[in-house]
Amino acid sequence: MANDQRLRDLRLLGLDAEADDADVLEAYNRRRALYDAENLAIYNLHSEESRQQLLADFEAALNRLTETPRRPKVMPKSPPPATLRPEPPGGPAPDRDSSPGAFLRYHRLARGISLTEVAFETKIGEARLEAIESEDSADLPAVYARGFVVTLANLLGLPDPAGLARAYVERIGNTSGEGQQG
Amino acid sequence: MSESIRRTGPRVWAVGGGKGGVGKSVIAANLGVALAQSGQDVVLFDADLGGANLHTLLGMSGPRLGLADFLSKRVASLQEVRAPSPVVGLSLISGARALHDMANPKYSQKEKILRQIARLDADHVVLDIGAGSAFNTLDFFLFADRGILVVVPDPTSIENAYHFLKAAFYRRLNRAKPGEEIREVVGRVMSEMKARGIRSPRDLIDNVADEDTVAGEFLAHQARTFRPGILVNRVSMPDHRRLGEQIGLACRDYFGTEIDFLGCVDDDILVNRSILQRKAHLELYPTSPFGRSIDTLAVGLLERSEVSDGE
Repeated sequence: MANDQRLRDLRLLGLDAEADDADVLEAYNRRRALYDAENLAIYNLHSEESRQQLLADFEAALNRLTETPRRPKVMPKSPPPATLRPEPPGGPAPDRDSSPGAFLRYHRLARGISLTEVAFETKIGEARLEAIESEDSADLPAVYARGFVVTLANLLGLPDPAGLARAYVERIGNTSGEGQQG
Repeated sequence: MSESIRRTGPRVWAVGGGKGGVGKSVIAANLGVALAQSGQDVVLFDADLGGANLHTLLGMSGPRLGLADFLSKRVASLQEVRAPSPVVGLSLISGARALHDMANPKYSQKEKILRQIARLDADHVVLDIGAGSAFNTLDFFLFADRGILVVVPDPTSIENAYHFLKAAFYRRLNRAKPGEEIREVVGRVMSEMKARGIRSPRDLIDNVADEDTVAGEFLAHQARTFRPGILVNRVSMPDHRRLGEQIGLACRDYFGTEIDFLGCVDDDILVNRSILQRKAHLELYPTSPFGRSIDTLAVGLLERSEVSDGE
């Protein structure tokens, strides 16, 4: 799954699987310049909202691609579970900062992914995932909450996982437990 | 339109731009002249029926026969309305004197024109397709072996160019007649556009490919084979030179296809002078900045077409 995300990120930047960090940086910088608000070359190609989303997507891809060591792929011991595709969500996405759990659920459903599949991929228990989405997880120490939310955001390909995790912890009020990760 | 006709027929170039006034006709005319000057047999075709200019640019006061005569069935074939121009090796199918109601030929008439263009006895046909994104204009553009989109460094031109490209792209998808199953998948994905974060044809194609390999491949094939070229006209500053390449990159991201940057054409005050003199610029001022740009363009196009012939 992590490799899929990597390939998606590379493709977003117009690169193939052979690209190294220097290629990634160059591709990112070209696009940063190209999609600048003042650039004549893209005049009215995208709506303002789209353009900003694109820049956010490029930045997220850059962050993911240049993260330090990629963990070696672990072969799953059993095939992933077959599940029914869940119903897609109706209406607009919830606001990330005021309803971070609902935001995660919305985007999971929009991608047609069931909780069972998420549990299989992330090794986070289904009950715990349900609690995170329902924002019923104040008992979870902050460091775990942050980690789970970042994992979920990466799985779903959402921009700015760290920001979402911060918003989540602020909203839910998880106590920091050991208090070391800050 | 049958592939086998095309391989033995002329190479067809379409020059368009979305916006009027960017220099399409001057470029089309002089591209024709450049190709003829290199020894090729060239037909210039004025498909801009509402605003035909090619005859004036070449200093032909108004040929006896033109496209209007073909459309009104006074003659049976395009070959009969081909008029020799002052430039050796270059003939013109003029849009002059087209009656008011001919500016928008019917679909069947247009298809007939395209079939006959493919059968013209020439090495090259250069089409001036005029401004705008009406279906007929798009179809002429899509028919060509290579469509050339002319832009100038000006937001209205850039904006119109993207509008044109989007229209051409979707027109192409529709004309490829996807089967019922493919339509169903695409329709379903498009109804979820917002939720899926689809903001461009490329996003659409990726999402469709995730859903269904066959549908995805159909769309991807259409995207891959949509290859217009961008030409930046009236370049007067160093910044402008980067424009074409950047537009190419933006299009690659947006459409998921290789859109070629064909080069720049320098701004040149002599262009106006040649127009006023009603003679082809390349005949009057072959070594001017404009003249040299057009020669470079012609050579580049010939080289590219040799490469793709070998594919």
